Amino acid sequence: MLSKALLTELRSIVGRDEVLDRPVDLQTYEYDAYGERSLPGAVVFVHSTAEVSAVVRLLAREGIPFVPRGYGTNVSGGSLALDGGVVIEMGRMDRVLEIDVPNRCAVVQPGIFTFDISTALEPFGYYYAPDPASVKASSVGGNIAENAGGPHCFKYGVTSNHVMGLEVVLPDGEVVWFGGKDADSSGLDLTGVLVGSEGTLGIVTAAILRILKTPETVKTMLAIFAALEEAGDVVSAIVAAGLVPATLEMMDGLTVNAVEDALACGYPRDAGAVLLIELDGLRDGMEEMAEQIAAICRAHGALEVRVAQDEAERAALWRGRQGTFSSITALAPNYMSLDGTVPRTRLPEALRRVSELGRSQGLDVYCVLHAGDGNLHPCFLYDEKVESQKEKVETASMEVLRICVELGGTVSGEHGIGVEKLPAMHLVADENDLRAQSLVKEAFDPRGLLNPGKVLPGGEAAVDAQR
Amino acid sequence: MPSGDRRDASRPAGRLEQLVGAEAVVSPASIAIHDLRPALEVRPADEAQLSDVLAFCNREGLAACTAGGATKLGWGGRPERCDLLIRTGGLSGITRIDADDLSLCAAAGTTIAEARARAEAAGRIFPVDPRRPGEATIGGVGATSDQGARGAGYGAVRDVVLGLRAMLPDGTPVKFGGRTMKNVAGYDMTKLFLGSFGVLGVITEITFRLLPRPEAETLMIVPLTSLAQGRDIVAGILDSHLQPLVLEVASAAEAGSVMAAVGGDPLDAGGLLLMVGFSGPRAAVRRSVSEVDSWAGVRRGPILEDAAAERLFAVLSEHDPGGQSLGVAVTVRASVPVGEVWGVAEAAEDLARRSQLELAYRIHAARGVVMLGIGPGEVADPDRLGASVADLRRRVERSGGRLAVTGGLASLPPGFSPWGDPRPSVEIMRRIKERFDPERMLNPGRFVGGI
Repeated sequence: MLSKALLTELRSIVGRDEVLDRPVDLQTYEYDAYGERSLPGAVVFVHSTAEVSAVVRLLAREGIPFVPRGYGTNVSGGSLALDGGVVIEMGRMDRVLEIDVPNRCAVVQPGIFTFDISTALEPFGYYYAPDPASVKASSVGGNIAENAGGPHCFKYGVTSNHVMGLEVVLPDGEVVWFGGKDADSSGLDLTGVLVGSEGTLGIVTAAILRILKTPETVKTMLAIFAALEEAGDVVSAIVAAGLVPATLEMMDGLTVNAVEDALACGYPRDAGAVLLIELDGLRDGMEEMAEQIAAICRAHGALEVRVAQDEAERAALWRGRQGTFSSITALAPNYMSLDGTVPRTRLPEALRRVSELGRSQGLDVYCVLHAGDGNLHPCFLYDEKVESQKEKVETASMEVLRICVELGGTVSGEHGIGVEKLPAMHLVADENDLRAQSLVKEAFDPRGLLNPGKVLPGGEAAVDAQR
Repeated sequence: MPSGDRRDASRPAGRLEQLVGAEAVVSPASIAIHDLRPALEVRPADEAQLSDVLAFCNREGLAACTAGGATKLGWGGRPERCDLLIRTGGLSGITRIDADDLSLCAAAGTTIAEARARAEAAGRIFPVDPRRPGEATIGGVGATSDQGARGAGYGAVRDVVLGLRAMLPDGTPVKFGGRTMKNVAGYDMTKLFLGSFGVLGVITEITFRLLPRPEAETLMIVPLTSLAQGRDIVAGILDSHLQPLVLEVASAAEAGSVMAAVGGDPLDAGGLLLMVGFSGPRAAVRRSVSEVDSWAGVRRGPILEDAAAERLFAVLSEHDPGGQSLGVAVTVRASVPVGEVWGVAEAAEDLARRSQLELAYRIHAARGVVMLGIGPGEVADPDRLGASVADLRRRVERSGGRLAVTGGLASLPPGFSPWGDPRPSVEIMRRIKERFDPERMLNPGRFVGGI
């Protein structure tokens, strides 16, 4: 609980109605898209960089931890306020500040829905490339904190490749710019370090984003396979053939049916796996590339290759892909969605081993993949009220991550470590690697007030205490 | 701590020889950093030896600077002190290439040319196009983020690196990132180390993503009547659906060597040149070229295909602007918002006219970088030259950019800052340096703000 005096001070900064402290109000902010809960000490709605700075200064003075939050779509617990810390709610800072076409960038506030950036750019013929599945529900500030990916990363890279500069409120309240509209290389790449730091190094209050010209042509195809492994082989074969589609998305048969039940997008229910392939760029040469890809699919046993004939068909295919997560998670009380990544050549083996693991443990695995990036999202469904199910899923999940690391991959491609994967960090980083990372945290946040207990293992005790 | 002057490196020499072998310790160093020639040069043969050398320096209070192919030692500040120079050439070789997965991993001392040749042999493109690729190393390119003409298509160095290994200043080995396209397991330490000028550690190995080899590659050379015309054509390309691999302007002084390299008509070599490159499916490349060609006012110059284009790239990367055409005293790099490169080039031309300086430059028009060579080579008056460079720096900073000296710092007045006044974010950079290298043992004073 925060003291009355402190709440009054906070209200004097952001406005009387802009601070929540009643337990019933705080409950809305005690969880995110990851399952765990932790009640914050207060929620403060901020409207400007100056307010963020003033709020942070005040909390730092009092030694109270704080965490920035957008719309709570984080799937690794990164936006939970542990230790009764204060949630700084960024959603009201949601404007496009500037569209600068001559310099190919846009300046936005962190609370804007990522999808809305491209909407604002559309009249200029430009767009913002990163497109996580949550693009209509998540804020760009959250995307920056998590270095979000999405289907189009295969060709265009992750969020980090599209952020040029950041205005940041440091954990002591100071406001500073990293990077800018210039591709400056004089100085440490602090923009690169901030992106993906899960809101533990600074609070982003404005971002300069690279904007891209909307592609001339887009071609969307759906390849249907009898078995998951065949689809995995096709992904490797497409990459090895030197073809660069904009997306190479895969889902297994269980997922296809879950999506059809929920959304009826026209996916084939009898498929063992489908590949959603999108090409973009100049129309010249695209037809040939599409034919080459279709030929590779057929050579690997594709039952059918469909090409979306118009925008409506394309939209239906994408609605299915974007709705996978909600379609699957609606099927059971609880879920565990993983985010391991492997070199693309190892994808077929990773899929085979994950399926075997599911079978041997008697668990249903729903598999959705950003296959072009080797990024797997196996999802286990369970009911935490049924004894031992949760432990079984947790053990299997750790095993999936171990498999990914064994195959030369990593434990998270785009969801982040948060509190969820703290133990898994040891699979990819030894004590020296972790120590080096903690030096960075210490340089930014020597008192450990900003989003404590995340990313770097060592602070797990705080989470356990909440359970 | 050893007794006596800690900078007297004659005694440590014997102990370094014990660590790396007598033939791997040279005295004095074979090369200087600006005007400072270290008393010792050490050439570790592998990571273990490098770790031992760093740990030794740390214990003994010896400041070390690092170099790979020594092609960019003119970049950055004069070291605050330097007892020995560590050369990374011994850490050499392609550690792994996975052509089907589009990745390549190479040790720090491997030359760019070798990495490129290995990628090409596997039917892939190594997407880094720095200067002097025959000598420049993986580690040096990582530490400086040097990227050249084809960066318009490849992106920056930070965009094509998947992970790296390094030694911290005390010799502790660390690894960051990995070999997958996506990786958010922990902080993005890879980005922290790239371009960090060796002040946080010594990069020992980098994993790059590779690109598929395109079906076709074409480079158009368009003679320009003025900078303004260049700006218009470039704006047209950037606003179109075309995706250039190269978008580069050569100033009049540079145009001669470009035309000589392509065996083009010397009549065309009087003014500025715009080089526009495309790669990809043959049909897309053909359409791109004919589209640019059809625009009003675009004069047609030579069009180079595949191998001929490669030859020109090789010439471009071999020398800094003015390196072949005039005596250069100072080279500088201006990084500005992409739309501002034209104003910077104009300002430089004005300044050269007013101050009777010689000038050559190249504009990386898709990346917002202008590389300039300023002469004459014999500097009569360093103060006057310094005033001119400072003038240009102010102009660049007004347009939201930075100007860094990349060669000839010694020709400028004493104390001339190679980086310019740091931005406020330097405070965080200092705090990071303090934690990684509290005793300032590794490349002290080389980086922004004297870090």
